Amino acid sequence: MADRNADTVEMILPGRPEFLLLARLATSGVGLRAELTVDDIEDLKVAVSEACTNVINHAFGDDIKPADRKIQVRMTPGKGEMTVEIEDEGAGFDPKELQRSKRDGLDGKGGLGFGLMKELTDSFRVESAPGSGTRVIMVKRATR
Amino acid sequence: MRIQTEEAGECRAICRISGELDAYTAPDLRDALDKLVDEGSSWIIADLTELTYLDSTGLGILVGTAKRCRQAGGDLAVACARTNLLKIFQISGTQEILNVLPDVEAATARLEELNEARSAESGEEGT
Repeated sequence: MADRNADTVEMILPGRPEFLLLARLATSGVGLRAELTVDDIEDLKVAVSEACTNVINHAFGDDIKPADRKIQVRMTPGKGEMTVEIEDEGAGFDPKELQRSKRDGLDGKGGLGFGLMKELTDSFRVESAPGSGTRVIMVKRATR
Repeated sequence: MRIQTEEAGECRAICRISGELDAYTAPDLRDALDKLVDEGSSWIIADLTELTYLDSTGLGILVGTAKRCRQAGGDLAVACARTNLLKIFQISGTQEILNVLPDVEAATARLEELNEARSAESGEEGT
């Protein structure tokens, strides 16, 4: 888990697409506190939205009730950088599958989304295992 | 997100999309584009000049529509000049397959060019 500070924003969002906008709005607000540029914030909004979309599309099986489908979002502004953690308690996966999704491109399960997250942030890490949920940790640094 | 579609005859149509295109709003766009293709439009311009947000879900719909247009003998072109959106096309490697151009005029010209090239190949008059 990334270090929290007094400005860390934590939210638990319902795992439904109508809440993606809220995740992006929070990214903008915290990004301004981290003194990211407008372009940096636009990049990070896509990365955050992609991570949440992957949770919505892939984390929850039919056995999980809609009320229990949650996305934990933690945003920590630092000096000229921002760390975002997106976590779920869903199905999880073997991170090696990311390589296969990458090959599948647009048709892969979350493949392009992970590609965008990686390209649009300065640091990107996935922690996951089958049955153990998933945590995506991303850092965006301010461009000068 | 707001969607406006306009059929322009001879299998041509334009779809203007404004606002934010994400996994929540994407189904509406998929329905609108599917309807255009189902009703016979195979040369489609997706006008994204007023779109402010795009991610992989929206890209998937545009790529899917481009495939359907090509299967019907046409193609799709995207009008987009916004830097943050162009970055998404660039990273995903979809700039060329989606014929991404800065405005509707350039996108229209691109589709005309493709139509003429295909007509010349088949020895027929363009649609």
